Amino acid sequence: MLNKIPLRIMWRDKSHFIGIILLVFLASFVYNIFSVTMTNVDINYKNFVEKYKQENFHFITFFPIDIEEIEKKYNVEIEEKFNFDYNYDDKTIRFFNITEKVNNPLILEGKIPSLGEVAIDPNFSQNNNLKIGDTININGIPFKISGYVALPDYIYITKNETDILPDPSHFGVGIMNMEDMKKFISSVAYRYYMVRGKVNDIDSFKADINSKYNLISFQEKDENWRIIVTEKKVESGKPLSYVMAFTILLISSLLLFIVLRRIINSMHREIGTLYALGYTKGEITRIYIMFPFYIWLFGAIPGGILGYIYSDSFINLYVSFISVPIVEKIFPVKDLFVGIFLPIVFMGFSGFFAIRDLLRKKVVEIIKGEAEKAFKVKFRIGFLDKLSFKLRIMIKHALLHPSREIVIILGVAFSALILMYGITAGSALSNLVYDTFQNTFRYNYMYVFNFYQKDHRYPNSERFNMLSFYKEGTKTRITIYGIEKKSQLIVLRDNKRNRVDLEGFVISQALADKLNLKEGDMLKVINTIDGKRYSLKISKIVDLFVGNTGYMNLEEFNKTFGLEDGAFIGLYSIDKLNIPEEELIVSMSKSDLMKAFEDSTESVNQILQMMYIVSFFMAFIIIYILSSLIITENRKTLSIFKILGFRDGELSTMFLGFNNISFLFGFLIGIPLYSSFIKYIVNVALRDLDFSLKMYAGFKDIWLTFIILFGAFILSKYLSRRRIGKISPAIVIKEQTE
Amino acid sequence: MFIQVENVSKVYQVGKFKVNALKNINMSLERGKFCVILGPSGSGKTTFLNIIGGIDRPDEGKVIVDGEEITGYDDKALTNYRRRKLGFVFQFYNLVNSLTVYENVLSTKYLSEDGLDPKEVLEVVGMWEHRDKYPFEISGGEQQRVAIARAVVKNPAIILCDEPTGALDFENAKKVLRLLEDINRKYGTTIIIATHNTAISQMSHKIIKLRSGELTEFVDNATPLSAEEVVW
Repeated sequence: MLNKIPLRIMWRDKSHFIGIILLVFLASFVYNIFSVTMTNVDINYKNFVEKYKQENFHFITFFPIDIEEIEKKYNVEIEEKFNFDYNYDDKTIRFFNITEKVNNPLILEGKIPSLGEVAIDPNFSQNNNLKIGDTININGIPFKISGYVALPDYIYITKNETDILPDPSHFGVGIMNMEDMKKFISSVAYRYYMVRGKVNDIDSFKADINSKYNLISFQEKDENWRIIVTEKKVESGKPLSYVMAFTILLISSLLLFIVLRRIINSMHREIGTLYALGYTKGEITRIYIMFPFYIWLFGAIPGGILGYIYSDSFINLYVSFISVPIVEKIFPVKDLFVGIFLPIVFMGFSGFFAIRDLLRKKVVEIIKGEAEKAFKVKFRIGFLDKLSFKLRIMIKHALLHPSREIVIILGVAFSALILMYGITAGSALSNLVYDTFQNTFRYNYMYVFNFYQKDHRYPNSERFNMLSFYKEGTKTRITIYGIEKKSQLIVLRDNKRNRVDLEGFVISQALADKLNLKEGDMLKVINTIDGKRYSLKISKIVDLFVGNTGYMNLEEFNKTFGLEDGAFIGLYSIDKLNIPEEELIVSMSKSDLMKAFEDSTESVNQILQMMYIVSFFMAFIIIYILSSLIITENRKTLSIFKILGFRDGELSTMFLGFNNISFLFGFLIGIPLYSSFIKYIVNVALRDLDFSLKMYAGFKDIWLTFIILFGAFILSKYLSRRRIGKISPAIVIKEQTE
Repeated sequence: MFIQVENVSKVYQVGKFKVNALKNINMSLERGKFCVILGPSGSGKTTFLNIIGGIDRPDEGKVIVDGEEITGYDDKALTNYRRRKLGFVFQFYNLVNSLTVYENVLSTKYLSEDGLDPKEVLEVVGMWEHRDKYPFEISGGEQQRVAIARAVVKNPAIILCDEPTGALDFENAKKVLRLLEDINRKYGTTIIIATHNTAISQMSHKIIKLRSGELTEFVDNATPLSAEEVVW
């Protein structure tokens, strides 16, 4: 019979319990949706790269190499890869030949292309409405789409290596047979080789290749943006999901503790009577421990299950960015177990501690109810007498239940943290792109030749040179550019936004952050191609957050690195240049990058909106539960005050007014909390990538966060005030006459 | 007339049944009078008091207090009415347990612009020395004295008392009655007491007798006794 008590009380006080159940639901949901997604992406990624022989590194040479000889010499597998970009409208599909030894294509749907057929990546197909069986005309030749393909070296499908975001509307990859490809490539400007296997002495390997075949570039897997972004994203996604789920759980269990304790205290007579009748502590505990059990049952289980179900669409959203083929959906028992069963541990402890204190007392004490004696000693505080009546009552009520105010502070601080993270992540990315590509890099086109140039044949363009280095003792790759001394197309500025004169060696803020460098430091680097060592003194750090890059003026660059005076490898220009394709390794249009960014902001906005809702909802639930708890337990007092002639507004100030202070305090704590959290996330997520997100909450971000949370606060206050309004002054009279 | 009650009726729904709490009540009372409503349990005393106090509304009839028809008021106006004009004393005191004696008195002083000095009022009721105690630290009689001080401090025109001595022993009950008498005399406050104790009616100027919601007698007492003289 007594087992009915918890469900009946939960129904009676549903406004409190529904809130807690929703929070637990949210915690399990968030945990599972993230962890299931991460595990799926992670395991599928690992299976994919292993099974389909992802490269260990690749390199580009000017002359063709003797594959068999090098394979034998270094005990590796090498395969040459050919590609050509098919451009139509404003879109590009990069086609590769079908490889068999390294970076083998995985056909996700359909079949491997025969002659006259192609397979393309599913994200591009989806964004451009291309289906299996459709025919596309490539430079006038019709090709049938035979299937969808994934490539192990194009997991993060960006057009250029330096692109921050993929743009599946405008850029995709595909495969076709070598025979077909020959129709589009008459001559090749460079040779691209993919290598699978471990080479112990990379430096001598490079030197060997360079001496025989003129090594143009060399890139290990760890430095390949198109490969490592996935691993980094999974790595950075995990702590975020853990922090979110654990904090929501912690807050919900604190809330449950507070609510349950109040319920247990209000039932002290009944509990004392049961005790007196001969029920044991264990039996009584078993009744009340059902509260956390039901919360878990109604919150964590559906939350966990829905988290698992909805992880499908989350995985889809996720792989639309990083293009990991989900070959089979993994059922991650461990994640689901943690997501569903962790809440019961939190809730169980919370429930146990709530009842434990009461049951430690003697039966007579329980029946009497001892709660008020304790507060008598605590709250005879002299300074309160000097305050106005309303203010002293407000402070007294807060001091009476400090744990509630602490939960509000924690809840609001955490909501502010999530919200600010969402807002600033969005604006940081847009600042990064717009600031870098509009203010600093003012060129529209960038061309890289396959050989050093001497004659500046293209007017209205600026020459540049570049070389790739490692920082000595690390794998951090640094690109150093030599640019025109008075360049109009690369405008470098210091952190006060003043233009920097290009004297000596300047580095980007992104590189300075990554390697913890400051002006005047010596940077020791090793050329990735020839292994030569250089010590460069940093004369300035420029306000550039993209790229592990350094800059010198072209003359100084050539002199420092022993290149011929006036030599250059590339050109920047405002207008498109007519350079024959066979002279180029890379040609890049800035507008492609901007387009990619604009497309991706839509998805980012969706995630942001979810964050707005989660934080609004959390702040609202926490404040509302605690406010309605205060109202419920002060129902009689409120009724007395109403009879005496107090207005609803005055009562709201007296009983719930301290929440204003806690809300504000929580919000203010949220700001430094955000800064430390961001440092942690940026350190974990971006330490191996070559850009820094300048994530800080500016006045506008803080203001927007405040407005949204304040909206939640006002809504909860409005509903609480309505509850106060509904309390009849006659309650006291009725209870008195009963 | 200071208080005028015209044809007031009130029906409560209790389950399937209708209970006539008040049936067509008519009465009037001058300012500064001491009035007792007498009747057994369930006679409608509390309902009558609640309607005059603006806590409840009649189904029919009207109540005019100091020229204002309070039965036409909405909740907000009724709150204002209680705030300006009324003090309440309950059988079980209904002090706010989280406030000290002094703060309980201060809580109504706050509502009034021309209220009395809380110290003076607490001295009158003999509770100044206990001002820093919480309600659960003092006896029932003392709590009721604090409740009276709380009602008086805002200097209301009317104090409504619902069984103010019902939970007290004889000595403490007498103290409370003496206090109410003093306040009636000193501040000219109209006092209405609802009680089943017929002895208390001996000290009032007007006696209203209720039975099953009906007014059975409404009499003037030309020779009220002092509280000291009342015995039961």
